[in-house]
Amino acid sequence: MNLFDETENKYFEFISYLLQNNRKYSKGEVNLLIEQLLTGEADFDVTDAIFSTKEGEELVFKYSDGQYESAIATDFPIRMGIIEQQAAKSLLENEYITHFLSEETIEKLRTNTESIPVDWSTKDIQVKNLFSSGATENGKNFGSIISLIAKAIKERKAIIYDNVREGMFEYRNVSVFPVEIEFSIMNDRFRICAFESSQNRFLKMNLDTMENIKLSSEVYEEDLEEMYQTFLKSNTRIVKLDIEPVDHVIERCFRIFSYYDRKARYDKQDNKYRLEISYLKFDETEIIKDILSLGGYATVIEPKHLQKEIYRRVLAASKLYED
Amino acid sequence: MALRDSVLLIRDYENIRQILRDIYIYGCFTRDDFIEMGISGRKYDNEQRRISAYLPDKFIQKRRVDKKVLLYCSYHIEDSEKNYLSGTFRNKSFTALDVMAFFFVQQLLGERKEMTAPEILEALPNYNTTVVFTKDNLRVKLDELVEKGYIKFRKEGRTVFYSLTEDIWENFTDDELYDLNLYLKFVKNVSPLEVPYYFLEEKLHLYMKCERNLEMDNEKVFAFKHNHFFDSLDNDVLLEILRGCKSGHSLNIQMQVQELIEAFPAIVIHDSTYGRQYLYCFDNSNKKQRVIRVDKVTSVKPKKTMDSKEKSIVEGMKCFIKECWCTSGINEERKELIIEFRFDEEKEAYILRRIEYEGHEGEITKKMDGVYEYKIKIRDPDEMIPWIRSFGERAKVISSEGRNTRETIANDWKKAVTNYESI
Repeated sequence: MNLFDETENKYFEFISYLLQNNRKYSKGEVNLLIEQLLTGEADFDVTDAIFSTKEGEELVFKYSDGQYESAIATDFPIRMGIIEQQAAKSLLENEYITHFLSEETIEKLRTNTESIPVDWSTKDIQVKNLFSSGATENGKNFGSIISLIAKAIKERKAIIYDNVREGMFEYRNVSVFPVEIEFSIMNDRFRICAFESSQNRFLKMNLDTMENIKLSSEVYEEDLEEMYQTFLKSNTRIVKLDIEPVDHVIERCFRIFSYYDRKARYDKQDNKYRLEISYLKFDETEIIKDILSLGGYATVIEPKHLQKEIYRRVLAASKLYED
Repeated sequence: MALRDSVLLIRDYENIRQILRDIYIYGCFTRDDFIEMGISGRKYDNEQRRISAYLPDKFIQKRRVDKKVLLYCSYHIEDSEKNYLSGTFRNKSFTALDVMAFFFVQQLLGERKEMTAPEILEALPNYNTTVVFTKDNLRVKLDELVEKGYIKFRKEGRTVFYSLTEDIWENFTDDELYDLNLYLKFVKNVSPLEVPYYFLEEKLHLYMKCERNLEMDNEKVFAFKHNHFFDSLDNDVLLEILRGCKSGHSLNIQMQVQELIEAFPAIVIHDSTYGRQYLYCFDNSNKKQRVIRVDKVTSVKPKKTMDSKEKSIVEGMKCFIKECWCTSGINEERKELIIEFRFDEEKEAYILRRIEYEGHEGEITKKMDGVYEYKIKIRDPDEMIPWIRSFGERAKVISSEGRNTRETIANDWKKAVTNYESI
């Protein structure tokens, strides 16, 4: 089966949802659900055809007395297509599985997918340049911890934990309200972003070093998400880069910064690309590292403090080779 | 109104792939720029209209630069869990017969344990005047639904009985389904092959709502860093390649602006730094090992089962992966690269950790306080240049066994200094 298939079309999912509980829908309700449930712009040629009111043109809904109802008066059973079944089975070979599912759930998944024929495997993909000693390598099993932190985020509850790194820091029995679990795909590491109400600050911790994590019953009453967004906004910085239009450089540069919010323009007259990247203040070291990796092909235009820092470093690097 | 009038749904994903990739990665090209790249104005107008319709307004945006409009994607890590690009795979066109057969057949089989094709035909509603189910078109649709995994069949003598495929989540508890849902939120972003997990997560979501009446909130849990979402645009191509790898078939591969080749697939390489994906293979048409960029492939089809000699060619190629930094140096012997790292061990201990974590298990030797020597044998040391440069003045290439790595980096830094001094 091709990945791009009509049975995965968003309108199929939408119809599946409507064909439940023998419900009837007015035109207004259908229009409201189209707005609420369909991603992107609705295609009226499609919705008008699906919800045709003309006799002889109706598809899966019959229209009478101002109401749509399923042509077959029974719930539509939700079944996984072959791609989804294969994806479910292949979860078993994914290295992160033990960080999310219990042994019992894994066993159930194994049994229930045993007879599914699988004609592809992600084991035939070799991931290169992933940092070592991360979540797939360090042997640490987070077990139910990620699920517990997700629950804390959803219910705005605190977690209590110890965080110890020998010779560097030692925190015991700390209570924070987690706001998100950050995962770096390249670093292969989980980090927890949380609000520490006693210090009135947001912080970020490596999950690797956190121990004895427990869910607390303490609930944060204010809108943490809004506070976090305000915090992020006030810590967002912009760097402007000029990039030389050398094909392999441009491609590398735009790819490396593709996971930042950015605006780009191509100046034909000056034959230069100008890239404006928004980044968080705490990620500045990483931004510097990425800019340096582009060598003499990327030049910082703004802000001046970053321009000076990069200049200082490229000058020092250049001097290394003067002998 | 008819489904065929839709201008938004498409038959072939290839239509939007390249334009969407350029909009997402670069986001700086105007209509005129696309025309210069060889895309006709009319095609650009049609495809950008579709792309804009597929994606949420907050993600795809327009802005005006020098009186010209350009489309770009507004990305924010805080919104990264959604993986909007995978969602563009949900816009394949369909016919009235497709949609009616899909829903009616499964609804009927949901009511009865098994049915034969004539029984299904008899039970199908027949009010639509243009879509008339016949023995023949129903048989085609039943075969498609079997192939796509929604229904199955068994034979008893000459009679074929159809039934719904098993509900694989039937004996999972609600809590287990929530855990699976969380796991899928993660995998659909982290896996180098994303779209199948995106589909599964969406379907599981639907299952939990419809079959279990579970509340599904949209609370964000994850934020993903270093995520190259654009890889999902090639997932249909990648899936076909993976099928070739698994089945031991050779593949007919068509690339942009190149002749069709027959390839024996060895392995797919995913580079997590730049998000490039490659097929490392034996190009049987030109009798050479080759690395092909997946985003340059326009179609992949299985050709034939590889014989034992052909399989052994592929097996013999596997050591390459361990010996290169990413994909460069197919025809080269390994060369030793030596780098000297200098840093303040107290204040900059993270540098040593970086070398350990990122250095592909190169040998690290402490020469004196704050000075470390790093050695690695690699097919093409020049492929490591961006990584070496990322350390700035803390890394100095000492030698690279016949390669000009040191000179290249020295010249790069000179050029950088000149650039800054000319501002």
